[in-house]
Amino acid sequence: MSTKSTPNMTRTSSLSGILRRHINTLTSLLSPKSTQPTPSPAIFNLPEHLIRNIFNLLPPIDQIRLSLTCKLYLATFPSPLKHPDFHFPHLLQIMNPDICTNNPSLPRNQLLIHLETPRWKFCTACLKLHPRRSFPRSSLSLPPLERRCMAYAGIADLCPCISLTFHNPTLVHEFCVADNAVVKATLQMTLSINANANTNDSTLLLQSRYKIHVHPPRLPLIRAPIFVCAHTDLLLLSGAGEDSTDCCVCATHIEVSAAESRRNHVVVDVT
Amino acid sequence: MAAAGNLLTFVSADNVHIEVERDVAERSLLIKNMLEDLGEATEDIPIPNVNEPVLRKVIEWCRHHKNDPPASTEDEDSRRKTTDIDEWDQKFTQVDQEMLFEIILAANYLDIKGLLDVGCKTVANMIKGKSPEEIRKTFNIQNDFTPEEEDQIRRENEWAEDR
Repeated sequence: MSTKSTPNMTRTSSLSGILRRHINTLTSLLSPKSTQPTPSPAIFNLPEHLIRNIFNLLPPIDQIRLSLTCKLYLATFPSPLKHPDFHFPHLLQIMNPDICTNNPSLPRNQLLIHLETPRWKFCTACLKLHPRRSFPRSSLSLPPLERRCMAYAGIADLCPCISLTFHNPTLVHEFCVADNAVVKATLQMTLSINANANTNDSTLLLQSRYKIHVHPPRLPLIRAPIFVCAHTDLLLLSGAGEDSTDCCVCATHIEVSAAESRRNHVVVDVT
Repeated sequence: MAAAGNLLTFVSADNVHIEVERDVAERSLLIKNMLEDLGEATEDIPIPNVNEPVLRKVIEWCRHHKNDPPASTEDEDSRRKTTDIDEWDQKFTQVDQEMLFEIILAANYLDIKGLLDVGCKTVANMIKGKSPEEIRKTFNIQNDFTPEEEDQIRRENEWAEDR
């Protein structure tokens, strides 16, 4: 009898022991969270001018990393993203078509690789971060400097300040080409990469729309020309009263949009 | 408890009296200017913002650097560009983080430029080369960005700016 009761007793005592242990673990897990708020980091005790001092001692890439640690620092520091080292490398390929854009020593590359997360990946063809879904699955396992969002992705440098990539294929730019007492002309340029997936052919499409407001309605004889291409003066053309024409030298097509033009207001599309 | 001759007495925030040689104490511009205004310090000098262990560390630094030439504007420029710290100072700043920040705050309050520099450089070196996550871990900073905000930062024009 005694031999039978012993294992029973040990089981009861061990059960209560386990229960007690569990309660202890639970309370120890609960109590610090409910009673102690997370202490504020010691670095937050530094006055703003001191943390700025420290910030100014850091190289730009570390400045960005520090400002990305928390909202407070992101709001405190001037955006080091404006630092020339991290600007998009304009004219990189025009100036040197063989240049290796995935150079690991380029500060912008270093920075973007550092900013990678499971959701954002660096694309060595566009020199940008793209959402993960922009990449083919096979490329996600590659090292950042070999990863491309598309086989034929790349950068099209249009001028010293504008470059296009496949992920922002359209760019709209509007500015005033003439503004004087008689003529006010604005130009809206829409640049797009016209990618044709079937033929693997991509062209750069430039659509320009001139809005010309002439006052008085008759064109004066002396005025500055507005060239739509290197060979055609827009004002001369619109004075001739034609609705559409093609430049005799280059492939520019000029068309007056009848629907949007009114008396002394002409809208001209150039492609 | 007034100190005689070249000895001054600091009284820390926790009310501990510490004797300091005048030339050591004068590494602090706050003390130096105060002594110049007073002429002769005949009474204890309270340092209300600094407790004893920190004050002792600060005095230790001042004692080691008491013969340093005063910083010129040129030095200031070169200081800004580099985070090099001399060997003695490196050993001096091998303290826990809380102490390091207390020393920086004390150097700021007492206006001890050299020590303030060493402190700031030490913190800068602790940040250098680390990812945001590693910096958070080092300084116990909470990541208070939501995943959406993290995305937004990466989506910002600046990262992808190509105009």
